[in-house]
Amino acid sequence: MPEAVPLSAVVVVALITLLGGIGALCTSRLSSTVVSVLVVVVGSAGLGLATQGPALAILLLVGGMGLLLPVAAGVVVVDLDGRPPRTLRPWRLLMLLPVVLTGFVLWPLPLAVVSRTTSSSPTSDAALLALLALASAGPAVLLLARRREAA
Amino acid sequence: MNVVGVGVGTGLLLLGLGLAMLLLRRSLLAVALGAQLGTLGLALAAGSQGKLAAAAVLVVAGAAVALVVVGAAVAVHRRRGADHVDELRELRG
Repeated sequence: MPEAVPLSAVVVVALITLLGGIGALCTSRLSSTVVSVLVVVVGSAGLGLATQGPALAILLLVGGMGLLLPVAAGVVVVDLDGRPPRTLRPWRLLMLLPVVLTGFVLWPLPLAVVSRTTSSSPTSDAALLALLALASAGPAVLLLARRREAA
Repeated sequence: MNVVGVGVGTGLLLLGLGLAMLLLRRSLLAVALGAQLGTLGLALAAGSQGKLAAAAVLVVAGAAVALVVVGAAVAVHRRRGADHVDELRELRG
């Protein structure tokens, strides 16, 4: 358990997180929904930091970003936001590249932290890491498929 | 009310919002985002109670679900030009 955090600060973070969730429910544009879910991810990480410390905060932040990444890539690359699909331009790929690379590099970190602190079963750790690698490959597959179609 | 209670309550409310998104939004991508919201809420509620392993499993399972739904959305969009769930009627009796 971390150091004592003022309850009022935690409540403010919780309210911001819930407002993000309500925004995600109410906005019509997918890009706005993605931004609202991003607010929820960051707010959840803040709440995790207040309740259980850095391990839960890292898990929720990086894991939440990993959850968001495939859909964000789908919205940006495939462009299903109510507009006609556009040809994928190189700058758009370059814009996404750091996000995808960050996802690849950072994804295993929260699991490593959690498995070090909670689990003594290497088999279940390996299964989790395999699932994780599969999940993080999604945006890259989307990008490659779109690029092949554009070519 | 303590800090852990706020974390658990917020997580459960996020789960409710995610379920509402699953039922109310039309776009498959928005449905995927709703599933993520619910998963994140559950992970927050479990993690706030100290169940970090359960939270990690939830996050990984949620990522796998997101991949499947995004893949379906892309396939439906390419075939039909839209990704609205109420237009998928092939299995309707």
